[in-house]
Amino acid sequence: MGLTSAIIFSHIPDFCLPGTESDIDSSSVTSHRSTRGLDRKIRRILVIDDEKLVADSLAEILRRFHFDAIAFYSGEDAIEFAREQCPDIVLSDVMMPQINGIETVLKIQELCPNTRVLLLSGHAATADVLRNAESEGHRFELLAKPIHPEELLRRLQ
Amino acid sequence: MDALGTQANTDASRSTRTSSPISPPQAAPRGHSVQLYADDQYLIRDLSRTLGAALGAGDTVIVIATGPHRDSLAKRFEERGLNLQQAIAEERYIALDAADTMSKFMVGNEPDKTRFFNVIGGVLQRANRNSAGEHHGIVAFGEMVAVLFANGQADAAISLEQLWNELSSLYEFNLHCAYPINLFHSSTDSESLRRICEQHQHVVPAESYTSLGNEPDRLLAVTLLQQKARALEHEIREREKAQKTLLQREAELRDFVENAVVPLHWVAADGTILWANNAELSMLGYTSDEYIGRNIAEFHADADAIRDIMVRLGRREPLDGYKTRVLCRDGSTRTVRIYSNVYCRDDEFVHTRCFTIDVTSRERAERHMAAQLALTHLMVDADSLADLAEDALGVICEASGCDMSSVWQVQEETGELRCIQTWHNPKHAFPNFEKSTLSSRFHRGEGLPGRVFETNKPSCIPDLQHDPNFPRRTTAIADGLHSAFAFPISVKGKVWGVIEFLSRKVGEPDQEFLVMMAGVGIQVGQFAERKQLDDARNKLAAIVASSDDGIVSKDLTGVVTSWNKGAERIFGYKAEEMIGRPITTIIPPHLHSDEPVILGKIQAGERIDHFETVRVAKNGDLIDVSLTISPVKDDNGRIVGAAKIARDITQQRKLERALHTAERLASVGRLAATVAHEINNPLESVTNFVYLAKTSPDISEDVRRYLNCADQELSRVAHIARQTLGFYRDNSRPVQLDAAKVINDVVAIYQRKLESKNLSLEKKIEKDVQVTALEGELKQVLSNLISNAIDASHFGGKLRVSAHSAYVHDRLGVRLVVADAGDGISPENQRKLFTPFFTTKKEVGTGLGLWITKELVEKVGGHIRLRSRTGTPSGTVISIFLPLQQEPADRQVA
Repeated sequence: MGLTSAIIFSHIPDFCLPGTESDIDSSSVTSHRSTRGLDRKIRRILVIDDEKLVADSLAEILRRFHFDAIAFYSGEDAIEFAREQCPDIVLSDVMMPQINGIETVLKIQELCPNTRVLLLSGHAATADVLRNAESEGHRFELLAKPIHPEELLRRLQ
Repeated sequence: MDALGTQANTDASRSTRTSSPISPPQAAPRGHSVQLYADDQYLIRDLSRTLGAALGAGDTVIVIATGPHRDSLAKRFEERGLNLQQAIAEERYIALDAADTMSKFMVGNEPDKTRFFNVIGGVLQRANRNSAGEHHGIVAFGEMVAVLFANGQADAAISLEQLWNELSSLYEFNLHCAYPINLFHSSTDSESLRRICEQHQHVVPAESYTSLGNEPDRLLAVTLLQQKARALEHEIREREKAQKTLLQREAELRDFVENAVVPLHWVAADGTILWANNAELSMLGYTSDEYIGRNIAEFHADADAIRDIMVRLGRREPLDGYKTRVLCRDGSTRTVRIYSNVYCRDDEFVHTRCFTIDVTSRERAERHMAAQLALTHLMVDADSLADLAEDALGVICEASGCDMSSVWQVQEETGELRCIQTWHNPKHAFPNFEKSTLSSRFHRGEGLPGRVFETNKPSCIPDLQHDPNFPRRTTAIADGLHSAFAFPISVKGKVWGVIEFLSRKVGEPDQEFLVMMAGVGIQVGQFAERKQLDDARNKLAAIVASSDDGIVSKDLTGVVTSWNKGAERIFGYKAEEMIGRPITTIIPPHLHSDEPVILGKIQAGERIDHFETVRVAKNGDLIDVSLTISPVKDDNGRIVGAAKIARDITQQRKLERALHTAERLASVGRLAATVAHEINNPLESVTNFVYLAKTSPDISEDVRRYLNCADQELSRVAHIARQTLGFYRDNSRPVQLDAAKVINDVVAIYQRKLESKNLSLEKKIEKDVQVTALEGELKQVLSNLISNAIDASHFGGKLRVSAHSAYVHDRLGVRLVVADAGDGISPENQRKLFTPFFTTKKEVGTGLGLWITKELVEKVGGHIRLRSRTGTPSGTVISIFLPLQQEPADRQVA
């Protein structure tokens, strides 16, 4: 709850959330850059979005921050990949043709119970889809499009 | 005793009547003379002198007189020393009884000439014989004429005088007659006296004249007598006149009482009827022979009453309208009022003076009228026909003298008559008949009620004994009832029921009563009809009164004439406030011009259906109404006003507007949702690429600066897109939050801005106030309001934020208030404030903040209020109410 509220407010330019905007600008991003050489295991992240440019740009940014990011343009492809190798994180768009993001991440979670899942949506109707899923006992982290890359990185940390 | 008590003494004289009316008293006049006298003694004295002189002279004297006169004369002669016996013996004094002598010649009432000549001639011959040859004559005194006259046989007396005169031609004799003057006391006797005098040669006046001694005295006496005669004649004339008047008056009075229209009679102290006038006889139907002479008690119906009347009159107590009943010859009775007192002579009861006024018709009319009046009152008061019947029966029975009555009603289902009510005289009971009546059912034509039902006309049975169509006859007669009549109660010509009356007496009710009852039947019918109308009207009135719609009537000038409860509820005015006031009272000024148009249509007989317009309530609220207006017509079809049904459609309008808004929002929402995806995705890509570019190490500082600007502008686009195209929908459910914490969080966000404008913020937050909301949404709402307040405030101004629990419409919740002391919002801007894309902050505002705020608040069943004023002091207060328990979704629309 607190998180979602923070997301909203982080995108209002007038708002100056203490310890967020400035941190990202000055320390978080910098620290990512500075942790580039950290001996921590590089995390694999599957970026799924039927919008190719979204998936590619996000994957590119994440790779720049040392994620092993792979872009997928459909849920099926990502699931196929996950069958072979479980990712650390899945970041998926919700509203997609054929199987949607929720079905995709649920399938992946089924295959890879330890994989963290984040949903990203630019569509108001997402809430209803989520509510259906939640009524079946699932909980998801949801990020709203457009999300600023710095905010996304902060959330992934 | 006869006036002729005198013995005649005739001065025998053969001479004819002397020229001088006056003869010397001593000598008997010669020929046929008449003497008038007042006093018997004087006559006898005079006769004794003259006749005594004649006897002394040797004449023969004949006396035909009454017994007493003969006896007195004889006695007088003897006193004078005359030897009467000798004269009798010598047949020179012949005395005969007047009546005896007359009997010998009278035939009927007239003297018979032949017989007279024979009888009197015989006497004269006898006398003549004795006086023959000598110088002696015959002197006769006769009273037969006076006897006849005294007996009222004046003509016979004159005839007898004439016979005497005729006889004087055969015999020579002097005849002296005498009449008592009092035989001629009446003025009508003058003529008889004159005729008698004419038969005589000498007239000797009565002693008042003859006793006078000398000529001058006698002349004086004559003069005085003449004067007296005049005076008497005058008096007689006066008296005759008075007498005539008196007789006329008497005749008139007699006529007055005999032929007066008021019955009058005289009754003696013992009750004997002494006299009665024609009116009394005709009232009772008796002849005078059958009535007068009988006792009055025989003609009274009530023995006690007449006894009482006679006792009162015996006490000389006048009767002033004593009410009783008298018996007529035909056996009927009449109710009368007697006015009577007593005529007394010397305190002795002579007779009553009794006036009898026949009040039978009047009494009956009064009784009928009283009954009519009572019925009228009953009709006014009665609630129903059954009520009316219960009371009316007694009244009618009393007026008609009936003893029992019943009301029968036609039963719609069966078409039978059933008794619904009975009444009986409190002095008598008819238990069996009443029971039988209450259990009877009659078809048309059956029994008396059935007959009346069939004919719709009054009907009567004078004697139940002889009526075969009266099923209750046996019980009726056993209970002592003998006659009956009944009349219909008609409503619009259709028999509604029948009223039946029974009497213990045989006979028909009087005609007048039947006529009255026919009238009563119609009246009762009208009553029933009126009640039906009243019922219908009451039902309508109840409908009007209970209607939720305003039902109002007005006249053609637009003045309100009625105003129901519905109208009171809708417009807030009470009926007493509105009746008499113009209907424009509830029409908003800008619509006043509608009224003449409405009235014009009504006057033209047109109806206005579902005319949707606006009216003003008493509290100034504008009310959306749907009007249906119809012309109101009077009985003649003339349009006299308008009836208006006003339905309050304010709520309906609100719903419609809310629905409209909801639809608009929904379509906007759908559009936004569709567009959002299309915009957010490219926005995401562009943001990412700009980010990649600006974080790329190979770019110049200038490029990095440009990309930073682009990045900021993209953030602004993202913010607008988020608000416009589907703000973030929190995926969780509302939870209870601590109001203070949420407010503090939001205020903290704006701390920098507050400081930059040097604004002071006053927070008044009730301790432990909980609010049920989605935290993100609540924060967004609060930040919108605080952000607006900061923007509106002047440098160094004040803000106030408060939160406290509140009850609104019985719902517990929280009221959050954000107030600023800015310039305020003009009324026209206030109305647009909650519409999308309206902003007063052209440079920084999106025009979406309050619209979104309102939607968020109303989504959870709360509401938002704004109060703002421009001028001094100015400022804006926005308050939000959020219920603790959320209402179902349908409430959110309103």
